[in-house]
Amino acid sequence: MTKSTFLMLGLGTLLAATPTFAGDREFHEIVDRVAGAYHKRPMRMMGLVSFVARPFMPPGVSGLNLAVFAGVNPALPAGSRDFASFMQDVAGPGYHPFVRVRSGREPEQTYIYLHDAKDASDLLIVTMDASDTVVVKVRLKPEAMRDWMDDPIGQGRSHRNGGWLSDRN
Amino acid sequence: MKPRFENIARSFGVPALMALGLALPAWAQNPKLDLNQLEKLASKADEVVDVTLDGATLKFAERFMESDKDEDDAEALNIIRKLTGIYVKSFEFDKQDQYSDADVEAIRAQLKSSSWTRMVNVTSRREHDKELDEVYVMAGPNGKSNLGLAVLVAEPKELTVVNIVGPIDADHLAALSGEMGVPDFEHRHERRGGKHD
Repeated sequence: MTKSTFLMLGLGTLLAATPTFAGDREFHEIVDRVAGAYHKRPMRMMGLVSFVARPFMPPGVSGLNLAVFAGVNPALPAGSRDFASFMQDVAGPGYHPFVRVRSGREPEQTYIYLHDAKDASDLLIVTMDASDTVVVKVRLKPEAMRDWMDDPIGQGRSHRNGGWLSDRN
Repeated sequence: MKPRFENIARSFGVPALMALGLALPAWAQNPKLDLNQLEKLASKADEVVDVTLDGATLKFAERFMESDKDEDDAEALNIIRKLTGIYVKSFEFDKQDQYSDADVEAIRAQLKSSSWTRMVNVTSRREHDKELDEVYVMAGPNGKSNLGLAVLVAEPKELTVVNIVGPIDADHLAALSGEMGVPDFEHRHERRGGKHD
């Protein structure tokens, strides 16, 4: 491969990735707020994982962003009244609470928020368990929203059990 | 001093009582239930799910149904357009007897005001099973349209309360059944072979 081919490939990749980075600014702000509350940085390379996983998204799902905070104490950060208001502060005012799934016995909870996008909806999913916090943002077209609207309880439970990608056809 | 106090009490007390009197019917006519009364069950539950569809999220649902152009959704869409909120709280337990009749009564107590009417009561035929489905509607002040609807579903290992705020009646429930967190009553009833009143 010649030097110019490498240069073209590099430029092509950069151009393809640039709009994604601009659109992901909001996600990074959310991640920064979680990082600030728990004084932890997200695991490295998650941006690359998100980027690589994007072609494998189910139909109608796009724009995957993923951040994983390992070794996070799931206790409510100091100064927060309750998890619901803390999570709303993290998500920001544009996100509306949709589904919340909690385990009664374990410190495990999933908060799912909806954000209005022009021809789609952004779904923000924050899952906290005894040691890790995972923040996921995806864009859903109407056909992908159907499952969530038909069965938000089942979808929320499925996501809590890690099946949000595998159980969709 | 005493007459002056009486004057003050009269001046402020009467309007305050009048305001309270005006406010009471409004409070009594509030179709939104306080589902937080069930929060104490959360520590015993294997899983607690809260679904909130109001304001913006309800608009999302409306928009997705419009774009989906599914004929089956047409009736549901007409109903949803008029609603202001759908709230679901569901507890799943890993064993029986994790909630008591008193816990169910906490919700029923809110449905005992004169504004709510029980439209459906389905109980399991099997003895020792505390399975029940109850549907209540809150009539509007003029009796023309309902203000809201509440569904109470109690099973040995599951307790679900659905609260729909807006003009809806028990007949409309079939269109929403199995969607947006509302239990699928038809299948439940078929599965159980229940008693209906």
